[in-house]
Amino acid sequence: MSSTEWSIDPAKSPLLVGCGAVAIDFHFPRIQRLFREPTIHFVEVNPSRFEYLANRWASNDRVQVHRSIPDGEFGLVLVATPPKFHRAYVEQVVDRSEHILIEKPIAIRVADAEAMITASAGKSVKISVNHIRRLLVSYRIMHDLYRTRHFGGLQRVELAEGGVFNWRAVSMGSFSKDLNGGGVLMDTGPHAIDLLCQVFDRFELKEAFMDAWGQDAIEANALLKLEADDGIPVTVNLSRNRNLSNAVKFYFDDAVCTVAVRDNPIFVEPTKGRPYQMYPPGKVDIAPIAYPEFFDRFYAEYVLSGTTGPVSPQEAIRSLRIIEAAYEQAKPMRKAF
Amino acid sequence: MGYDFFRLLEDHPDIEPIVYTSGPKSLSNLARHDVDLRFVPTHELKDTVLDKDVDLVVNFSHPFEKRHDLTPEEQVRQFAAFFGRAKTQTPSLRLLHISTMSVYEPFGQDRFFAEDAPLAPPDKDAYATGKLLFESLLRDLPGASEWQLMLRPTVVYGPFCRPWTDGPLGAFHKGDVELADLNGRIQPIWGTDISRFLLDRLRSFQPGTFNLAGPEVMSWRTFFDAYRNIVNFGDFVPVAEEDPGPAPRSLPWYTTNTRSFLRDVIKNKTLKEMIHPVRERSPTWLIKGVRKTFNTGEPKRAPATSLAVDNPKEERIRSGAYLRPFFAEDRLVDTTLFEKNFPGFELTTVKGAQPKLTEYYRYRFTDEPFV
Repeated sequence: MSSTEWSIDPAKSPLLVGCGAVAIDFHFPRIQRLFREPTIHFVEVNPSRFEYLANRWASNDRVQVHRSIPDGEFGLVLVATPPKFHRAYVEQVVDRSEHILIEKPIAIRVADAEAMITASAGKSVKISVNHIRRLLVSYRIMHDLYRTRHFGGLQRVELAEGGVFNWRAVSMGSFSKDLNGGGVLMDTGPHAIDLLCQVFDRFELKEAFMDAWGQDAIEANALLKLEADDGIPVTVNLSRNRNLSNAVKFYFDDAVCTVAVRDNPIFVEPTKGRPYQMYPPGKVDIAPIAYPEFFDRFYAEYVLSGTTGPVSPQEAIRSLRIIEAAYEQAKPMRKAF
Repeated sequence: MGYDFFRLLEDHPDIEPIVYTSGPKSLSNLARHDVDLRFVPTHELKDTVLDKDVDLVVNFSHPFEKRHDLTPEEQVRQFAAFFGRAKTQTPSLRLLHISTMSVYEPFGQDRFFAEDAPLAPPDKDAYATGKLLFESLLRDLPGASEWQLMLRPTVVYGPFCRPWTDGPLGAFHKGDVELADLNGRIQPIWGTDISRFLLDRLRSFQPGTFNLAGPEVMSWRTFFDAYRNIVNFGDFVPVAEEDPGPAPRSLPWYTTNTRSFLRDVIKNKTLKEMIHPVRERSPTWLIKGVRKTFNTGEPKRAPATSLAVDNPKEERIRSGAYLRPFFAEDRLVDTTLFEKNFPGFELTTVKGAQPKLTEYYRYRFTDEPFV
């Protein structure tokens, strides 16, 4: 899907399906700003949550809360339910919406994601997945540096992303294997692996480890060992209870390049000479991009205008394949802490 | 503390834990296990009934913030009422409640507070007053002295302990720690010792209120030194005494305040737009002079070799987290009653905990794989 095809009409009503923290705290404020005229519709199936929201917005005549998808057609549908339900809602709205934005991960299983693609085939609806870190141009730059062998051959890559979980979730979805499909790998994994998908064409999972120590347990840590393209070792280390470095290190013959997982500058340490930073062109902000700003820019560049090019389901499935394989093959980590 | 206790129970299959939680925020560790986990939002607690086959409740929780329009005090009252209903439903129920030594606030130098000390924490100390309220409400429940064990642990440290382990480890990991007066004394207690004690009480319940302190009296400085040595990166940096500034109503005082006032005026957005045409026509020396006088130059950028990532070992970030007078004051408890009732219970020294803390530092703050 090209950027010219994704173009939302802010005069047509949006629908937000799923009223968890990400929909209310991040999507809704931006949708409110971008869609100034039409009614904004919400769908919330949890009874107590529905009552809470209905009361909260009782005096707001621009917002309507529904227990199921209302009649009508929509300019934009945001699907922000637990991933388990993404497919069902997409299939319900595929004939009634011009654009569908699905929160990551696109689905729990690759088969469900493929079913969504099939459901939309031949229809005019455009579907995108909310991989907001596509805003980071640094990984497209790393792709070019890798392909052109600017620093020589690439020997290995190490990604480490982790922080103590502090998401203001309103439900247990984040810790439900049934609703979410897993823990950290299904949570930040889609974001992190999608960064690597911008650099490499192909991945093969060699080994995976997780600290889920029970049948229904979900992992706080996941370590994946992959091979990218023609056998480049790639390690992905994700955590919800460790403060990891939140960076990707690319070890080339002639330099080590470090890129933060939520930031743009590339820190280069050549084997000879002084280290330096590379910045993308244009306005430079060396501070890490805070999550709210990510959403602002994502809406401006992707959701409303499609300037940069949205992330198609086919592209989003690339990271989901790795994640699905990891869950199937994972060995338990030792019980260190 | 709760998670550490849960891990200990894993080695005792005859004990079947059920975990009640009011929010998912602290579940990252627990969710790694198969556990009977019940999500009860705070505002639903008043409608919640404890399972009839629960023999004993260990309460680690305490509400610190407003939730669902309920103040912490209202939440504490709901909790206490919940335990009261549970006891009425299950007469054999027992409660182990984790309180805190903070109920003894304000402490005093060289004073060791015993369990029967009068309790009157200052109103502005929300933590201490909240904890005391919880204790009081629980004690007011019928027959409390027979079925409740209250513990007042001192400074708890260990894996996943935010204030007294993650805090100092993180501070030294990022850089230096500003040092004022860390001579206040404490009796830090290793979290796993609390877990072992609780496990013993599950087997052999004993009601009452007990201080629970570590085996050593040491200064905050000595305690934090242990973390500094583990991390081996940041250091203590003495803080220079603050310049009190010019005397009020003196000429320097007027000059300083006028400059500060004008600095704020110059930053005004509307004024900036108005003077923009004037600024464009002004010589560079004048613009620089104004900037220098009012210190309105371009914001400093990080040096080229620094990197805005979470673990920049090349960049040292200074922490002022331990400058409060709190750390100059003794916070000590009397352990006579505990030793009399639980003779021979072994407690871990800070030095004894060092190997585990060192491994924890690597786990929590480095990318080292732990497969």
